[in-house]
Amino acid sequence: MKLDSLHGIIAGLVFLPVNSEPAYLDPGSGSFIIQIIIASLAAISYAFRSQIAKLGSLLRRSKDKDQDK
Amino acid sequence: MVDQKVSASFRDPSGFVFTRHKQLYRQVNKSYQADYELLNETGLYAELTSAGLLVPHKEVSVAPAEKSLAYKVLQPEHIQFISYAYEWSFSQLKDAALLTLDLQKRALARGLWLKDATSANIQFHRGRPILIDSLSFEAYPEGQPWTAYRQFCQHFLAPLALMALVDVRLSQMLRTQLDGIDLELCSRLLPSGSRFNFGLLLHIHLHASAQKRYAGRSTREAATRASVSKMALLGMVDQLERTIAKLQWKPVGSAWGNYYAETNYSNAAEAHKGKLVETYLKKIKPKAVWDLGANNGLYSRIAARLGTFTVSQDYDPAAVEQNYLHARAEHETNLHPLLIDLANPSPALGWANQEREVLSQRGAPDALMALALVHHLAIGNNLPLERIAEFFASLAPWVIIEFVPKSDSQVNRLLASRKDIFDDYTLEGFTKAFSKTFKIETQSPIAESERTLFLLKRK
Repeated sequence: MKLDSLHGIIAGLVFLPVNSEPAYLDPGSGSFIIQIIIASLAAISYAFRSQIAKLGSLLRRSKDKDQDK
Repeated sequence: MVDQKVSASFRDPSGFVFTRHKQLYRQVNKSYQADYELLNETGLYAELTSAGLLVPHKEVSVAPAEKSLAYKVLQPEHIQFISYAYEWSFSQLKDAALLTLDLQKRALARGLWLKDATSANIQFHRGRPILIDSLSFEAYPEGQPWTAYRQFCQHFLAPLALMALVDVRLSQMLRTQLDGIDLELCSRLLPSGSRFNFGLLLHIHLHASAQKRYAGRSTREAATRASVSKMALLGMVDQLERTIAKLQWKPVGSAWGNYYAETNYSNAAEAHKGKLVETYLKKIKPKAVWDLGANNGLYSRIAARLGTFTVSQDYDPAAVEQNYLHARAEHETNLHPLLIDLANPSPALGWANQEREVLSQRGAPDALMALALVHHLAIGNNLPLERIAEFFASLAPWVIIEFVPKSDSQVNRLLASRKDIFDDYTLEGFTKAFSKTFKIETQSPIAESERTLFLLKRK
């Protein structure tokens, strides 16, 4: 998938505009935009991992309940 | 009252460092007042200083260097020796990178973030990396991508990836690329297989192509198109951390293998040499020592154990790496391993040659140690003995130096494939050359070897 189309999908689906204050350091436009992609992947992976962890703990709890019976 | 602004700190308008009467101060400008107050009020300053991650400072009532701009003057705790990323071993740079990410996470948790992420803001203090710029934090602008992300990748991730995956000596690119390694260049130098490393694919390869694609576009325009939530930003920092943690360099199975097993003297000679070094050090009681050609720091540790702050220098990246890993494992607080080629030591660099100091002006050691070194300089590098003596005399008043004669197998090896043009390289020639600048205080033959250890005092 081309970088542009990936960026377009993510920007269109997930994020809202924000007001930005210029920094003393030039952050670089490309470095700004790539972060939107990377951070969204990281957010998805973070959310996915926390769901898995939640599921794991639910399963453990129900197993514990079964054993209690 | 003569103030001298420290040139390394001029880029950030939040404040600057200056020296007055040999004391170092940091002026905080009015423009940084709100962020400075936030650093204290949120408890971030207290958290980071008590964890040893940020250099502590005192607010002092001395006159500011630029009154019209000034909000406060700080006096930071003294850092004994300033070093730069091109003088660090792989793990030193890696630890500095991981510290930077840790600081970013801790700051975000308290509503701030790092507004810059340069390796020049990190120093080694009591054996561990520490942030020296207390003006690096600012209020976190919710939703905005990290402004220092590019700088972080250029200063830390790119050189670490090149060192781990191409050649450890590529850290020397940082000598010429003071704002870190250009990502497009890094992407071209990395092996194509590095694209299968997910972290490097994102932060180096795709990052470099995005820079090319969006070059010249305004960041304001870029940032108004989308935002990055705090959770996504933390996720990205976490991703960077995992990418860096996975990068490894070990000095085995390569040109560096077996290097340390190859010494030519007995245990008795090594023990006697250590004993002599200790006796000489106890006699001169130096506060600071530079051990030149320190290898993995075996003899530096004799000085360090006596309570002497010791800069342990070697030109071999594997030796410095082993030295640092040992110091880190043992929590050694007064030993600083440093990658230096003595035949080409770090020069003054940057704007007006004032952003990075020349090695010889960074501290004034009371003594040098030059053990099993002089043959490398005199024969390996064709340096006349008198020139070596003059250079050493320019650095320190005392020198503990070992003479290794031609009959020694290590010198034989240096002469094996070349003409012996070193007629003056004898014990007499050495004594004569060094006597021009130094007085010989003591000299002792090292047991079970043909070597001699000297204690010299500058005339």
